[in-house]
Amino acid sequence: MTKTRKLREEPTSLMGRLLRGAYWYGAEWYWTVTGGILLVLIIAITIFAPVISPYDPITTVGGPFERPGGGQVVLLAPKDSGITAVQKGLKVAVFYNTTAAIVAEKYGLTPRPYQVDKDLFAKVRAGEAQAVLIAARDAAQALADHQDFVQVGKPFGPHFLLGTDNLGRDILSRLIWGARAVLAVAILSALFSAAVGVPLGLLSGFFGGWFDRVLSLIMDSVYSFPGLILAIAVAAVLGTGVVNIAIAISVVYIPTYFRMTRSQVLSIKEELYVEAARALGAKQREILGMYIFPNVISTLVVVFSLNVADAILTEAGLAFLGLGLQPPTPDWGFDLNKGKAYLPRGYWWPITFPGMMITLVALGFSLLGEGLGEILNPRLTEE
Amino acid sequence: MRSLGRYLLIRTLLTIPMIFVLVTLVFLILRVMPGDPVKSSIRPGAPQEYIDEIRHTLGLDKPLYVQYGDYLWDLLHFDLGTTLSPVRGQSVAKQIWEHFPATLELALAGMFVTAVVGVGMGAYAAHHRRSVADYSLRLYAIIIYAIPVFWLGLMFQLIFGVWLRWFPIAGRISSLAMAPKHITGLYTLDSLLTGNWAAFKDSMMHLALPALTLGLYLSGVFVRLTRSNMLQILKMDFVTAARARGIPERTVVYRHALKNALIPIITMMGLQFALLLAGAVLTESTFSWPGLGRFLVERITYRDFPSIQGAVVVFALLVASVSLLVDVLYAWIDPRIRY
Amino acid sequence: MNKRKTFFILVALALVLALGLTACGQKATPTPAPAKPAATEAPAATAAPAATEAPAAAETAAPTEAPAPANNKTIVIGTTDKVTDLDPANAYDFHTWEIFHNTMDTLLHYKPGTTDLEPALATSYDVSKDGKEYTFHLRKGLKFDDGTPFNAEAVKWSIDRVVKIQGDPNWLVTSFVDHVEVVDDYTVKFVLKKAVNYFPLLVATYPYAPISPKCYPADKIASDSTCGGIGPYKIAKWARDQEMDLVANPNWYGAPPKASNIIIKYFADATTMRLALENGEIDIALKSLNPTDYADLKQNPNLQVIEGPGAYIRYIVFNVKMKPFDDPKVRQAIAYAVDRQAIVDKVYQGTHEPLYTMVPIGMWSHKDTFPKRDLAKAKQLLQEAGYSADNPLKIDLWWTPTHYGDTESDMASVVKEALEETGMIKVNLQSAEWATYTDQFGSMGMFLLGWYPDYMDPDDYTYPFAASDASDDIGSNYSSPEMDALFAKEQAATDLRGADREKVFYEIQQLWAQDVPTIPLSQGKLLVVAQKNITGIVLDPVMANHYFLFDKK
Repeated sequence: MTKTRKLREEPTSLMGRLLRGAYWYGAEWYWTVTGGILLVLIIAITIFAPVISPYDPITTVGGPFERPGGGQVVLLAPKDSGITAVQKGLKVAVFYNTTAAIVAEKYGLTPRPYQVDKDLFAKVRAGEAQAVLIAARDAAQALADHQDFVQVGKPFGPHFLLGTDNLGRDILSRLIWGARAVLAVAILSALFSAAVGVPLGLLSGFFGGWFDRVLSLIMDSVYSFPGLILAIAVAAVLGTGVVNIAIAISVVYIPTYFRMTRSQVLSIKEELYVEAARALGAKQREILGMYIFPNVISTLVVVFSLNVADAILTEAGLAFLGLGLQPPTPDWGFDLNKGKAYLPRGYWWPITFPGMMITLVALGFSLLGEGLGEILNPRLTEE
Repeated sequence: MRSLGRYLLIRTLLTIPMIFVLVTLVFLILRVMPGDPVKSSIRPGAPQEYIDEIRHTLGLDKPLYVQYGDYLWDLLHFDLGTTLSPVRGQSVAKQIWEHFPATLELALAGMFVTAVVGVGMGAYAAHHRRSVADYSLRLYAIIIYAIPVFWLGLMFQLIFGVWLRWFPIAGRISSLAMAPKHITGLYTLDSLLTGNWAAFKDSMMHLALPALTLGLYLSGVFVRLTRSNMLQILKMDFVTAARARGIPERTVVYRHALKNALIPIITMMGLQFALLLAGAVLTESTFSWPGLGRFLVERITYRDFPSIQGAVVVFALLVASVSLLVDVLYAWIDPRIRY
Repeated sequence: MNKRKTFFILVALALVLALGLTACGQKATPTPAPAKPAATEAPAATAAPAATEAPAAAETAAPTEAPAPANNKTIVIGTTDKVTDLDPANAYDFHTWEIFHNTMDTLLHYKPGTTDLEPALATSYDVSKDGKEYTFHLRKGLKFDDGTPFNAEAVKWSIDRVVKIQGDPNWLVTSFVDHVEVVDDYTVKFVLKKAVNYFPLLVATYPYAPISPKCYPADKIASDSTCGGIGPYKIAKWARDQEMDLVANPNWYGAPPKASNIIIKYFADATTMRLALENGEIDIALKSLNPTDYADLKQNPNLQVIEGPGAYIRYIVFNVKMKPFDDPKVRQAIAYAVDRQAIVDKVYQGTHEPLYTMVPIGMWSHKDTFPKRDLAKAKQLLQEAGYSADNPLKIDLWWTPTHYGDTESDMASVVKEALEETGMIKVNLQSAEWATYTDQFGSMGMFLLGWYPDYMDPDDYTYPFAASDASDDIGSNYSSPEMDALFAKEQAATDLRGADREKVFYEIQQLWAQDVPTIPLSQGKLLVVAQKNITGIVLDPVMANHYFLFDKK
C-alpha cells in the first residue's frame, strides 16, 4: 500500500520523515531511532544531574547496604511511654553504622548506638533509652516479637530508590552523576583518536613511500594487540584523571581511524576526478582537503559512534580493574569494582544498576553507529 | 606454481618485525613510566643509599640503550629475567609458565562456547531470514556486545553462584590438592586424561561460568558473521542443486551450507583472538581466575618491568601465531594468495 | 591432494610440539630452582626435569628416621596468604616469617603472648661496654635436620650468606652488623657498626636464623627450599600455593609441640576458605577472611572467633616542610577532626580498632596521647590559623589504590568526609599506584600510610618518622632537637624494657601529640577463627602464630 504513495504526499516535517525512515532504510531504522532516543536520555541525565539527583553521590547519606526502596525508619516506643510523636532530644536506641543512626542525628534525636548483637528493646526496657528507631521494613516483625511496643507515627527518613553502597552512598545519585565522567572520558578519547588517526591516515595514504610502510607496520602491530592491555599500560604511565584516562584509551583506537582513512584515501586517490584535479594544477593540500577528506567523513561518523561505544566499555574495564577514575568522582566501573567484593553476601544492587547503565549507554552509541552505517553505506548484498 | 611452504616461511618471517615493534614499545613505555619498582618492593622510608645499591645490582642505573640491548640479548636466549616487585628474584619465565595454562584453558573453553552459540544462532537466523527470530538474534548480537564482559560475569556469579548455588564463583578448582596430575596444565583435560573424575567434575564446574561469560561476550560477532556468510552461500548454485535433488532443507542448511561457511568463520575466530585475550583479562579478574591476564594487571601496579615485558611478549607471540595460522589457512584455501 | 596432506602433517606436528613444550616446561612439584633462570627455565625447555643441586626435593621427608611423635594429632590450618620464598635471606612477608617461626628458631625469640625476648638457640649473651659487641653463648648438642651440627660456624655462615645475597630483608643485618666472629665452637660474637640497644630484637628476626651450610646454597636464593633450620617443626612436604605439611622435629630442644602434624592449606580466595571452615575441612582459619565474614562467623555456634591486637597500624603522614602543613595548628586541627570510629566501622567493619598514638596497643610503653574527636576544637584551631568557612583550608590527601587492599578508596573517602565536616576544610583526593607513590615521598603534603614493624620495639614505630636523619626518607621531613634528644636517650638505655626507657617513650608520645608529624588512625586486629575444640591459640603483636601451642581436644 505504502509503495504506491505519490511523491507530493511525502511528509516534510521532521517527525514525519523520521517515521517514514523505516520505509526507506529498512527495519534497521528502528535501531537507529532507539539508539538516538537512548542517547538523548543519557545526555539529558548528564546535563540535569544536579537537578534530578536526589542526594549527593559522594557523601554518606544512609547506612551501608540499604536495600533498594529502603532507608525509611520508624519509631517504636513502649506502650505506656506517652510518646506520641518524633520529638527533638528523644533518646533512641539504634545500631551502629545504620541509616537509623544517621537519621537520628539529622532529625535532632539523641542516638544511643549499640553493637549489632545487642537487643535494642531490652535496652529501652532497662531505661537506657526511651524508644527504638529501626528500619521500617523490620518494624512488623519487631512489633510481633515485642508486644509491649507500639509504633509512633509514620515511617520517615530518606528513601533510597536503588539502595546504598558499602559506604552508605545513594546508588541512584551515583548513577546519575556517573554519566558525566563516563561520557566525558569516552567522547574525549574518541576525539583524540580521530584527531591523531585521521590526519596520519590521510598523509600516509596520500604520500606513501617508506613513511607509509613504517607507519602501517606500527599501526598494524598496535591494532592486532589486545587493546585493553595497551590501555592499562598507558593508564599506568599517565595516572588517573579524566584527561589521562581519555588519552590512555585513545591510543587503542588510533589505528582504527588510521587504517580506515588510509584505505579510503588509497581508493579515492586513483579516481579520475582526482587525476583531473591534479592535471589542472591543484596543490596537494587542496586535493586532500577538497576531494579526499569529504568522502572520508561519512565513514568517519559511523566509526566515531562505534568508537565511543567501545571507549565506554574500555573505560569501565579500566575502572573495574582499579585503574580508572578514582574517588571522589562517581564512576560506574569503579562501583562495579567495589561491589564485587560484596557479591557473595547477596548484595546485588551495588553492581546490577551501574552495569545496566554502562550497557545502555554503550548500546545507545552502538545502535546509532550501526544504524547510521546502514543508512550511509547500505550493504547491498544482504537483504 | 608458488608453493604454500614458501608462503608459510615468508609469512612467519614477517611476524618478527611486528613482535619487535611491540616489545620495543612496551620497553619504552615502562621506562618512561613514573614509579620505581625498587622503591615499591622495599619498606617505605628505606634510606636512599640502600635503594641505589639495589638499583645498581639490578642494572637499573645503566643507560637506557644498554638496558635495551641487554634485554634484547636475553630475550633471544629465552631469558625473561627475574621479578623486581613485590618480591624480588623470582623467575619471570616460571611465573608466566605457571599462569599460562589457566588462560589457555579459559580461552579455549570460551572459544568453544562462542562457536557453538554464535555459529548455531547465526545459522538459525540465516535459515529463518526476516523472521522475528532473525531480527531478535541480530539485536541480541548488538546488545551482547554492549554488555561489559565483567558485568555479565558478575550477573552470572550472582544468579548461578549466589542465588541458585549451581556453580562456584571463583578459582579453577576447590583446592589445589584436588588438582589432577600435571600433563598439559589444563585441569579439565588433565583430569580426563588421567581418569580423575572428581577433579574433572570440580574443574568443569569452576570453568562453567567464566567460559560462559567469555563465550557469550564474543558470540555476538559470530552470530552476524555466520548469518551473512550463510546468506551468501545459500544463494549459490550448489545449494539450489541440492534442493532440487530433494535433500531435506535442514540437511541443506545445517550440513552443506554451514560446512562451507565455516572456513571464513574459523579464520575470523583467529582474528578475534586479540579481543578474546582482552576479554580474558577482565574475566580472570571477575572470577579470580589465576591466569596470565590477572598476573599482568597485578604486576603493572607494582612496576615489575621484567614480568610485564615477559607477559606482553607472550601475549604478542600468541596473537602473532594465531594470526599466522589464520593467514596460512586462508592461503591454503585460496591458491591465489601467495608471495 | 599431496599439498593438503603435507599441510595437515605440518599443522599436526606443530600442535604436538606445542603440547610437548608446554608439558616439559612445567614441573609438577617445584624443585629448588636457582634464582637466575638459565636456559632450562625457558619455553624451549628440554624434556628432562631440572635435576638441580643437593637440596632435597620437596616431597621427601627427613633422611633420618624420626622417632614416633609424642601424640598423633593433626591440625589443619587454612590461609589465603602465600609463601614467597622459603629462604630467610630473601623472604620479608608475614606469612613466610610465620613458617620460619615454626621451623627455624633464632638465637633469641619472643615469649609467646608478649613482646619480650627469651633465650632460644642461644642460652645467654653479653654486651660489651661500648655496646658494639654482642657475644652469644649457643645451646650445645643440637643439629640441623641434615645432620650438620649447630655451632658458631653455622651461625656465621648464615649471616654472611644474608649479606652476600642482598635480599629484601638484608638491611636488618647490613645496617647494623659489621662482621661476625667465631670465638669458639659455641660462642659467636657480633660486632656492630654502632651501638644499638635494640639489637637483641633484631636477632629475633629471620635473616638472623641459623641454617645449615650443607642444605642452602651459599650465594643464591633458594626459594623452594624445605630445609628449614632448627625449629619445633620441620617441613615434610610442600607444594607451592597448595599445601604444606609440618611434622614435629625430633631435634627440637624445647617441649614437643602439642600437635605432631600440621597441615597448612592454601586457598585462592577467602570465600572458599570460609566454606571450608564452616564445613569442618579446616580447623583454623588464619587472617584474611573478609571483614564482613567475621561478623557472620561470630554467630556460628560451632566456631570461635579470637581477637588480639595486631602490629599493623594506619596513619596519616604530613610533610611538615610543605605549606600549609608547616603550621602546627593546621596539623593539630586535622588531628581533632579525624573520625577514627568511622574508619573502624565503615572501612574495616570492626576488624580494626581506633589508635591514639603511634605505639600500638599491646606493645610495651603504649600510651594514648592523641585527643578524641572534637570538631569545635578543630574549628577553633583552624580559625587561629587564619581559615574560615569563606576561606577554607584547601589540601590534597594522597592515597594508593591497591597496596593496602581495596578498602583504601573507602579509607580516603571517609577521611575526606570527616575533615570536611568542620566546614572549613576542602579535601582534594589524589591517588597514585604504589610504585609511583613510594617515588613521591617528599613531594606529597599529606598522605595515608600503613606500617608493619620490623622489630618489636616502639622505636620502630617512631624513629623513622620523627628522627632528623630518617624522616626525610619517609617524606615527613620532621626535625626537632627535642625529639632527637629523646631518641638519643632511649637508644642509649641499656635496659631494653626498663622503666627509664619507658618514661622516655611516654615523653616521645606526648610530644608527638603536640607536634603532630603523623596522625595515628587505627590498628589492625588479629582475627583467628577456629573450631570450638581448638585450644592454645595465643595472639600477640609479633603476628606469627605459634603452631606448636595449638591443641585439639
